[in-house]
Amino acid sequence: MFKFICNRLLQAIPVLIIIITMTFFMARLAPGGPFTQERNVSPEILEAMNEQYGLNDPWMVQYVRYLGSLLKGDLGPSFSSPGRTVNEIIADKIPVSLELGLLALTFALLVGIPVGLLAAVMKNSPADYIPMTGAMIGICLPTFVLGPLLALTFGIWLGWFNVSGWFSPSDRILPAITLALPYAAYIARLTRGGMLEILSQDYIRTARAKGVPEWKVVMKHAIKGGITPVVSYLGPAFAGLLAGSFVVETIFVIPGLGRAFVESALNRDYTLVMGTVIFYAVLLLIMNLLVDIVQVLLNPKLKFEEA
Amino acid sequence: MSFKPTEHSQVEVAPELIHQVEDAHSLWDDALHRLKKNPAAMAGLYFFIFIILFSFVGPVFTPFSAEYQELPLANTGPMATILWEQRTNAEGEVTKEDFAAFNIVVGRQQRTGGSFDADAFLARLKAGEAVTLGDRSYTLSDRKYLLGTDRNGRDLLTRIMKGGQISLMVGFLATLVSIVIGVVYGSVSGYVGGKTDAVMMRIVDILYAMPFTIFVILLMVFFGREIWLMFMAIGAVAWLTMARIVRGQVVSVKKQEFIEAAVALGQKHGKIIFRHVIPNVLGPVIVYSTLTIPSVILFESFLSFLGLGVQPPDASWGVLIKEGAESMTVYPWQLLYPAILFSLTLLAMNFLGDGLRDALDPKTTK
Repeated sequence: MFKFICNRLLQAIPVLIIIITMTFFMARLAPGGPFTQERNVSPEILEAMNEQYGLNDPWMVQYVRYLGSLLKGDLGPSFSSPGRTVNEIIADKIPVSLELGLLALTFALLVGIPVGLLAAVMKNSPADYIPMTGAMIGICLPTFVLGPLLALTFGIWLGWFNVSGWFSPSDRILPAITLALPYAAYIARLTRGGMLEILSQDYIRTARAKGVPEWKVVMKHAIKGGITPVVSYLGPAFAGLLAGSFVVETIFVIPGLGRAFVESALNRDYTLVMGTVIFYAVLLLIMNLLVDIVQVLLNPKLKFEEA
Repeated sequence: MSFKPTEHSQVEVAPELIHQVEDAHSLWDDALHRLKKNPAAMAGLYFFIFIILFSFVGPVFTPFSAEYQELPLANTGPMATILWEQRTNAEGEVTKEDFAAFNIVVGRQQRTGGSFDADAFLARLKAGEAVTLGDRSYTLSDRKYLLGTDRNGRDLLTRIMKGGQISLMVGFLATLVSIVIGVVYGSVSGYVGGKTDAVMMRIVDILYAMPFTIFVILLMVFFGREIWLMFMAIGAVAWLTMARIVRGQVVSVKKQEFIEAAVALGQKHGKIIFRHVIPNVLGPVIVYSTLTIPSVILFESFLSFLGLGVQPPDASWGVLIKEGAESMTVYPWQLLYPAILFSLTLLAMNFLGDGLRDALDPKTTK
């Protein structure tokens, strides 16, 4: 297992280098710089600002310098928020996004798995097809439709929650549900599919023949194999949650990393964009690794060498 | 022993055998038959056809063009009553005339004139009377906006149709880009095999690990928000899965005897790929394409919602939903109509894609 993790981490290095290089040169190739959008800036000041941030040096020099500081864990100063470093900004925003993401993931799992289990156990009954139709709709409803609709219904018409902001605990509910619902729906479908496949296996029949009570068959024998598809889905789900957080944080005006990324991209804040991209990439690679490990742990047929 | 094909006219065929031959179904007939038995997929198909007609033919039938704006009628509700307002000066000459929304006129009267009987006002207008209030006189206009207007007084229905054109076009063209790249890449990789295959698939694996949403966002931000760039960017991202699917199919088709026969006949590899291999992997490609189109439409709208996609005055459904979300507290219809239509389209396409998959691959269990 240790070897497996080392291998995967080694494989991640070229991926990271490609990401860093592509982002770096894409930002430089693009027309316009980080300071061209500000009005009332005289050419001398612009020149001085470019000089101060080292933007006048040849690209390769900038690139090597950036990689050098990156190795020390320094993501550089932010262009759009003077006096603040990218490390500070990310450290500032990440607890908010992390809280939102974890809440959403927990909600998605807590709703999706039981619903899927119930649908599988009560196959072809109303408890199966009503939630499954709902799940299909939930998958098709994108976050940016669901969010405003939920805000409209529960925030404005019913007045139960605030429509925007991130202050009281109740402010967490609407954004988390918005982010979680499509995943809850997908997880429910995956759980149902996985459970149906496992429940038709011989060892389940054996367990039933031995007189094991049905709830024990489901909860003890079947569930481990049945939720494997859910586990392998968690990797892509996590990537999706990141993209979803851009939208949800924009809709509900949440001061998280997703909104910071979109804004930094719009402001051409090169260093903040790169810092966020690198951060996201590392996060995704780690999550995919974790998912692979859990998958092997759940399924004894898989071995770490194969993956 | 030489084999000579028998000529048709010489063979006596029993009539019931001819009937049997006519009844034989090709793979595609079978698929169509199975698809027709799936009500959800057929509903999806019909709705999809409806949406295409709605978006591309619909604007011909609406009374307004998508660009036509009537600023006094900004944010007019669906089917709201609209008046024609004339202002006259002391000499009785008309100095200014324009449309006015009924509820705005009523609101203004209620604020200034204390109690104002809106119902009586409406009744008199409906009777065809010109009602004078202060220096303004009103007559009923026959203008109606079925789904209301947007913030600039443009007809929302026509805007939704035009938005559908852009969203569908992005969906089709980006999917086409992904099909072309994915099919060529996947079939070359699978057909050549060996080390080339390993390297090509390794590249796909590495690209898979990239946070592509982020890359497309960066691309759109840095290189302007051009629609054609969006096709390319999304298409260039979506080909990865297509390449994997095609490669898997090609690897299994390659082992079949008719490919061996083609090789033995000395056909060129390029010809074998395009004539024999690709036609045999079309099924999964079609299925995956029907599922790619909605996800591309979704992605484009996601970008537009963040302000990174289609730019005004062009509007995709994402732009309309974004604008609607900004004003949903006061004018909820501006959010509701585009959102409902957009969601129904995605739902329909997903049902159709699922149905096609079941129809083309009878082995998959539901």
